[in-house]
Amino acid sequence: MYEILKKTVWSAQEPRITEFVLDAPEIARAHKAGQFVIIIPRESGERIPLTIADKDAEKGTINILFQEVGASTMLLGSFKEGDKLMHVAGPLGKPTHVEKFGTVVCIGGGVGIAPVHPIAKAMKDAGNKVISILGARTKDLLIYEDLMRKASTEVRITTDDGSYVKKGFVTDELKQMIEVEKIPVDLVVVIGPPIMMKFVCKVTEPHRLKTFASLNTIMVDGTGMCGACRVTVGGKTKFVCVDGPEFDGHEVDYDEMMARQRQYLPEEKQAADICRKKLCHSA
Amino acid sequence: MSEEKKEGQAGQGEGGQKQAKPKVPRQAMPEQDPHVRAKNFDEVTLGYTEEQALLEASRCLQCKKPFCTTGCPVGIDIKSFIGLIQSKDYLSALAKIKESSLLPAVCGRVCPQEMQCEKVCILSKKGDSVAIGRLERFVADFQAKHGGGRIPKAAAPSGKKIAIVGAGPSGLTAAFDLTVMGHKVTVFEALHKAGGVLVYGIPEFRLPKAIVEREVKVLEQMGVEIKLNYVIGKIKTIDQLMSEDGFDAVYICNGAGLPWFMGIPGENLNGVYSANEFLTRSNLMKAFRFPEYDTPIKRFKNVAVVGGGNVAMDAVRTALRLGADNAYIVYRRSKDELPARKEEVEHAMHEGVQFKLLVAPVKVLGNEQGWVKGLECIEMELGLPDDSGRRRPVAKPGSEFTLEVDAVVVSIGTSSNPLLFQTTPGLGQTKKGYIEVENEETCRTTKKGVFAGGDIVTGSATVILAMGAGRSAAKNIDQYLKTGEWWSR
Amino acid sequence: MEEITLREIIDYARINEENSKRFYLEAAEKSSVDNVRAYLQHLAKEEQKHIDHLNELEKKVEKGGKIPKSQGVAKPLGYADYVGSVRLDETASYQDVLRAAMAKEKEAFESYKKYAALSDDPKARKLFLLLADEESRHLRGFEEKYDDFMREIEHN
Repeated sequence: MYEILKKTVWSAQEPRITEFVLDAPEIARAHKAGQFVIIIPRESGERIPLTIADKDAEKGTINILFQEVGASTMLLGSFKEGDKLMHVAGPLGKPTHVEKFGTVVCIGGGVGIAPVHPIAKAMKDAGNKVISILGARTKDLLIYEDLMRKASTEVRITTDDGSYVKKGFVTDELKQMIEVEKIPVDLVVVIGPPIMMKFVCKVTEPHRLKTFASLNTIMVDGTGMCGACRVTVGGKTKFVCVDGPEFDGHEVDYDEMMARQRQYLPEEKQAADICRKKLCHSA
Repeated sequence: MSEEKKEGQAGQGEGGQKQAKPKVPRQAMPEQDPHVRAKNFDEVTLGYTEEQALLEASRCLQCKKPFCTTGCPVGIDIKSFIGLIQSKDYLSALAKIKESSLLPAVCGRVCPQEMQCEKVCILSKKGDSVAIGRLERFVADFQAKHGGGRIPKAAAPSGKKIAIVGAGPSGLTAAFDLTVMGHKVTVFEALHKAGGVLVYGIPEFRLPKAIVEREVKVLEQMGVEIKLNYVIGKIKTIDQLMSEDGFDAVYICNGAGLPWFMGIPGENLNGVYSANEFLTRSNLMKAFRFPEYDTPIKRFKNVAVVGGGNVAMDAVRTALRLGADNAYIVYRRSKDELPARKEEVEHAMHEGVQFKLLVAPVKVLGNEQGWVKGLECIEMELGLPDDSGRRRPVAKPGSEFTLEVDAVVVSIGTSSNPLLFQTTPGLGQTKKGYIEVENEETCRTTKKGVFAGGDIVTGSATVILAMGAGRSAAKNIDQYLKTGEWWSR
Repeated sequence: MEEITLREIIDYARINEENSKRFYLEAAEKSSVDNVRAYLQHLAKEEQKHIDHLNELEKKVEKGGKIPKSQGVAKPLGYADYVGSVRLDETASYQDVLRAAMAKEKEAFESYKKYAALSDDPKARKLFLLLADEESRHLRGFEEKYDDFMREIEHN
């Protein structure tokens, strides 16, 4: 059992964005940037893959952050400080390839900012100049700004509706950086919705700018057993859980990935409706 | 032993003639009606009643030189345990089996007995062999129902610590043996339940999960520590287990987890699953009870399962139970070559599974939304015998046809998981991706103190073979702990 | 088809084999799995044998000798028709190697067959057919290995 030591609701607006600090000393010690955990909140629960957003190896804690978009994440969001999660397995996936590249641009979109955080931190620790671009739909949904400022040399922010800093998309800011300001960039790391990662790759491709995309696909076991997470990368089928989650962004078939992401939408909706009713009753 | 006389009497009860053809026919296994069971997840076979078990046991000739034991991968003393059933001493019969096999309730259900002990039973020369597997199951179930029996005792503590990676049949067997030998065993399991393929792969209707839980509990009572959610290679490396945590030896038996796909177009369409995913959702995650359980599973109307092994049979029968109108087995070879147990094939047929044999998938067809709408196949024919005398299936040009399905479950086999190799320097890997060992008997890998066995060494095999490997590993680990000897390539 | 000398045909075949050899060696260079690397190196050696064989054939033809009789075409199992090739990267598996090899052999087999059909010179046609038949046996060999492997990995 894994205790929730701290719960933070980043955005109360639905779907809520919630963060837990979990007591998981061994995972905290083994974790490297880019890795994720699988969480099963209760006995009848689903295996939910969530990227580790931060950790404190000394205190033995890890941070996970999620948006309550489906029944399982809504259920997870109903857990309180002091509650215990049934199972947490990890760290899983290959760590991010970290070395001194020079200038690294770390792009996070929406809740994708959380998983970018440890990567930015590790890149900066490795001696890189880290410029982060954070994108959110609106100001209220922007998370981890302070942490990202600490983890980066420079932070740029865009909001879709212009409610904070600059109106626009992360791709606009990236283009501005490399095409207008002509900042020499050695590597781009991007995490966010597949469509955003696809567009970021479309921006970097003509510049032959190396781009890592960290993929967030459907998973069941998360250890290479089931293949639910498979994606086509460079024409070859790869498993996100053991071959990834990070891949050469220019080789990922995002369209296939997006179609695969939608597989359980009707079931998720059905479960979410039931869950909403139950949680309302229990509230 | 006084039982022996009684056993003899039981034999004479068959008309008093020695070696006479027994009059009692092989007792049929009571089963749920195929039409009923094809719609539920309850166990298909119901098990012998005591009366049936006694009748079946009476068929055993108690041969002076029994062949049955030679057919058993773990060498169960079959003659003796059946003799004990004849004298109604069921708990001793179970104890006799447990001298050689940890999991009789499991093996009595899932072992391919017809290829092993029952194949060499002397009665099979002239008729039906003794139903050894069903008797094995009977005594295990008897004890589960009526209680009794003891937790096996361990030898005096040796002071040695052993890590076992994977709580499947092989790991559990090795854990048992090593504990009995007096070693302190910790089993690391990646999933949230112990049992490996017994919990994620084999469906409830073939192996109720309560049985596995019961067996795991016995191990824990014996002092085996089982750590769940521990992905070795990630949370800890093999080297860390040995250098930091003080384990004297490691046994890797994490299974051949990675599912193979066919490499044909359309395999990543929505509605194409590995058998592992399909079965894990249904069995381990209990998705067949969605939304009561949180993990979803699709209830398809027309499902093609590609492959011909037990896993394929499990998948296709699960598809039926989830409500499929048409559930197909698509297999590129002939009926004789189906690797599944005969009983499973028959069960599937009775339940209404349609077999497309000598048929190979060529392409998965999809609709605009990226969902499966059909499986294009080609007919095969048996070619001329090659040097080995085998007639390989050869594609018949122009025989392509489309199976109208909305889901395809790929069940052609599994390969080794790359995860451990990524973080274990010095662990040799074979060309085909498995862990390299000195030989399957010693289980010694290329890394000192590290042993491996089960599917991660042999590729997909049976539960009982994995258990056999666990037993060999335990023996060799024990020896290594005493001598410290290793091998070199 | 334009007139082509027998030596040119053999030279073309040799380039093909050399390319294959290089392909396997490059893949071996990339591979991070010892035994897969060894297998790729073995395949490169096999290609060298084919090159040696072509060299002998060339000598024979130069001396005005007859084009050897073909041992016949080997019937393919069909895998290469629908199992796609893959790029061999550092994690390429044995199965990946066989897939790539089948695709290569099939391509060679089909191109020689096509050139044979396009050849007006009976000698050239015979030589192309001889080469095609040889490739068909290589293809069949890989398909059998693939078939054996598929049987081996089958779930019980």
